[in-house]
Amino acid sequence: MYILAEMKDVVHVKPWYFDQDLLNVIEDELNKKFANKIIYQLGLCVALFDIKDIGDSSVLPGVYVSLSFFDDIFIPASNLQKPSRFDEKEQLFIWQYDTGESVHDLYIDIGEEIRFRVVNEIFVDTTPTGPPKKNDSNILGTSSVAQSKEETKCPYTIIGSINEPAMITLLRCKVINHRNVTKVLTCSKYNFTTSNCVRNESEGESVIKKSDYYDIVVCGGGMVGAAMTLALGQDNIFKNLKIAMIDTAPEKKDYDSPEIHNYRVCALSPSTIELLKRVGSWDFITQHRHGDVHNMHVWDGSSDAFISFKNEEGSNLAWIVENDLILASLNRNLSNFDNVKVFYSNKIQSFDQNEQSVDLKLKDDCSIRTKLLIGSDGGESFIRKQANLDVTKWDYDQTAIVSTLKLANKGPNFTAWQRFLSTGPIALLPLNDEYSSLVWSIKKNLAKELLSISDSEFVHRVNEAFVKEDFKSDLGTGIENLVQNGLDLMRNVLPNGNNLISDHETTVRLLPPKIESCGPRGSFPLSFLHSSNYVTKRLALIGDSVHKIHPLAGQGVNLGFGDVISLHECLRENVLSGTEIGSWHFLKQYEARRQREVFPKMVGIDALNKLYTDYDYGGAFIKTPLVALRTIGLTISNRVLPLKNIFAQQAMK
Amino acid sequence: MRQFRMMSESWWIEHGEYEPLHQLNLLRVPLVRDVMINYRESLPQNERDNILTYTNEKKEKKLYTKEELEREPLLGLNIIDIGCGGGLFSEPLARLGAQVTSIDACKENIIAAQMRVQSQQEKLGVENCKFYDRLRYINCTVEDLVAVEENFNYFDAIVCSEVVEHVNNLNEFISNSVKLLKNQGFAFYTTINRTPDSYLSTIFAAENILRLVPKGTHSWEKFVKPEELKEILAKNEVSTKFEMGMMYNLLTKNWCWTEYKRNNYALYAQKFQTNIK
Repeated sequence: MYILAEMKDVVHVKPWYFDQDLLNVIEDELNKKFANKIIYQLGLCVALFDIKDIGDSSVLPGVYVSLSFFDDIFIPASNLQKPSRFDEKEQLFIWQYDTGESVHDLYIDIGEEIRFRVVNEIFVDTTPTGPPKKNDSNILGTSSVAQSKEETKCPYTIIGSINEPAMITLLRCKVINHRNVTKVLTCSKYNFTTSNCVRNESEGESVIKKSDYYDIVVCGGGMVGAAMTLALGQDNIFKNLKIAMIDTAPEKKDYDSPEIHNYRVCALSPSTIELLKRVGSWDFITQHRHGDVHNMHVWDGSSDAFISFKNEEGSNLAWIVENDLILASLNRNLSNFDNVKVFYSNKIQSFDQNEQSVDLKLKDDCSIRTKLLIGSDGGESFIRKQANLDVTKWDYDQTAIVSTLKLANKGPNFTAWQRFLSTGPIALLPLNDEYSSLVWSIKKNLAKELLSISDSEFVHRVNEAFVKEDFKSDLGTGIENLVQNGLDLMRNVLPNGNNLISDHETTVRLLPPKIESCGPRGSFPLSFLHSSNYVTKRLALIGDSVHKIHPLAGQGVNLGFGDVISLHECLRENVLSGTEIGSWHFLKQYEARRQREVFPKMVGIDALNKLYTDYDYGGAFIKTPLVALRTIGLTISNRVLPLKNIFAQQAMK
Repeated sequence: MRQFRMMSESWWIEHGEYEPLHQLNLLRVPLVRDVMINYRESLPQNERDNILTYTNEKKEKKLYTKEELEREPLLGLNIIDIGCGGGLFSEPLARLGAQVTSIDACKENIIAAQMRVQSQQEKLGVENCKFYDRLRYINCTVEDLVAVEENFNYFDAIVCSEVVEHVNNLNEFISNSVKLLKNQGFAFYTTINRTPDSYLSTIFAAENILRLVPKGTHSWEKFVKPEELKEILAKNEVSTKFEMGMMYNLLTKNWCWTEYKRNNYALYAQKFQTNIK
């Protein structure tokens, strides 16, 4: 039932017990320390049985002082005024003050008020340490605890000094430093009470739960959120800041590149690639796979009008990468930085914004305080909704169908194809010389059918969509010819015309590759969303949470990465100006810069979709002028070079 | 105490009554930062190393690394903020790495500034705002400091923002304060010019009509013309390097640099002591 355990310890006998019986004092001290306590690998200690041996003792000379609310302040003899000695009779320290003529004995009386300076603070972990592991084999149940700690454990001790004439070391300034002494005392009080504690009394006994502090918290671990976290984490400027990311998904394991590409892909623009290179993720993507777009060919379903882009300087127009691969490339780097912490499988339950900070409550009851909350939690953003930001949004009567398609003929595949049909645009994006990715935005009722038909039927419909005459319009062809002729004329007449207007390409129209088979089909509804504000107090939103667009230009995720670049830039300026992170001025700057960039693009893309998508009302009466308008637009854009360059640049941003 | 706490908070609300001063940081902090980086780089190698040396926890002498200096460009520099108020200017400087001593003759301001430090440390945790270790608020005047000779030639920079227009004896104030400055060190001033324009904008408009600041905050007679300030500085062997007007836009609530110096202006000067004792 009970066993005897042999232990060894050093006991500190405080000076005010010196007049009492030493054995009693030691017994008391030991009982205080061990009795009724659980000792690691021993069990519950009941009581002291006997003392077997008392070793040599040593005296720790010095003075204890009390601040009335805090007593563990010790001034060692070495820190007393010099010269000083200990008077055995009075049991007091005496400062032998040399006045020049004689030596005065100045007693440091008990209860006297003195000023001192804090020279050191000692924090000790008071949880008991267990006996050394090697004693595990001790069959008699006796084990010795060899504790080398020379003092009794006190969680917090201040070591003081009064050996500094007029205490001037702090600022080398006499007048002030007398006041400074008092300041030091109040400061120590503040260090002492750890006050960022949340008292949680719901569990019967009061459990003190510390609320964590992070300078920046990114909510949402999607592509844009992870890129944001990584952009901040890898930047030396932010190394002194603590950054957290909260991800609803569990920690991602390594990317195991499936044989057939996943159907969710992104067309990344050159500036996005720059960002991925900067955060060290691009190498991982190139080690695996990505599709290259060298040419882009966009044409109208109702006429022969088209526009085509080529990469002039040998760089890609876009890179086609699977979402999963982008995510994996970002996530694997997140753990490389000491100042970045990721909360996986977690989410924000509620948050409270105020002037100085945002207080978050997580699903697992953790509370986090932060100076800046960055929301990147997608189109249905919880953060945006909680922050009450106004949005303009509508759903398109369209669904995007995506799939990975196998081409009938293996061969070079570097062209992105897009055709504007009256039901919505259909696009084919190159993945490698055998596969391409399909993004087909189509009216909802038709989409339902396309999702239900068999694979072979679906492949047939795709092939048809790229070649079949859509909405017949002689007018469209007529207008196109007219415009072409007009441009030819201008090319000849205008000075410098050859540089302004390109040659009429009369070569046979290029056709997209034929499709052989398709992989699994996925679909998602399309909507337009734009938030009138991207920032509020201590809160910035990025990515889909503030802008969602039609995928016809492949710009959605690039806009999100653009937000990352811009916000990162603004926060850099914020830090380098010495201002507290998340200051309003810099958030506002991000909003202004970004909205200027994003909004025109969104309106343009939306207009393009409206221009090409057929309306159910109006019939030919509405259709005809629309066809005329877009035919003229497309043909002119293709041949007037300055205009074309603008489009190309916009598409590449 | 509660009143001080409220006062301390009111200093630090970005859109509160001190908004113009918060916004002014966007001009004055980068100015000090860039000038002081150049100052450090222009020092001879041994002096620069001296500034950049620190003792780490293991009691080893170390030089700040390039990365650390990129993060906190003012590391190792001693800066004194004279008339620090609630510490709006001192805190960013300390955050950028400088060892800042902030003094103010007004006890309430110092308490408010210290309250701010304490409440931040309470809210965020001491370990999360370590830069406060570099910041020291003291309730005293420049005269108190120059009474101790050890304080002479101690600081790399003096910043004195929106203060000289409140000083009674400017001559004495300047000559005392530059004693604290090291040779080659910089003194930064921002203040208000004594022109009819400034009377209209600062006293008539801001105090009487718009009531942005309480009545009697400023007295026009104490405003200082840049020529006067330059002259006093020159008398004390401090030569002016730069002066520029600053303009506050009431609508956008932003400051900007301007050639127009008849209202607010900033000025910095470098100390060139000829006979070093």
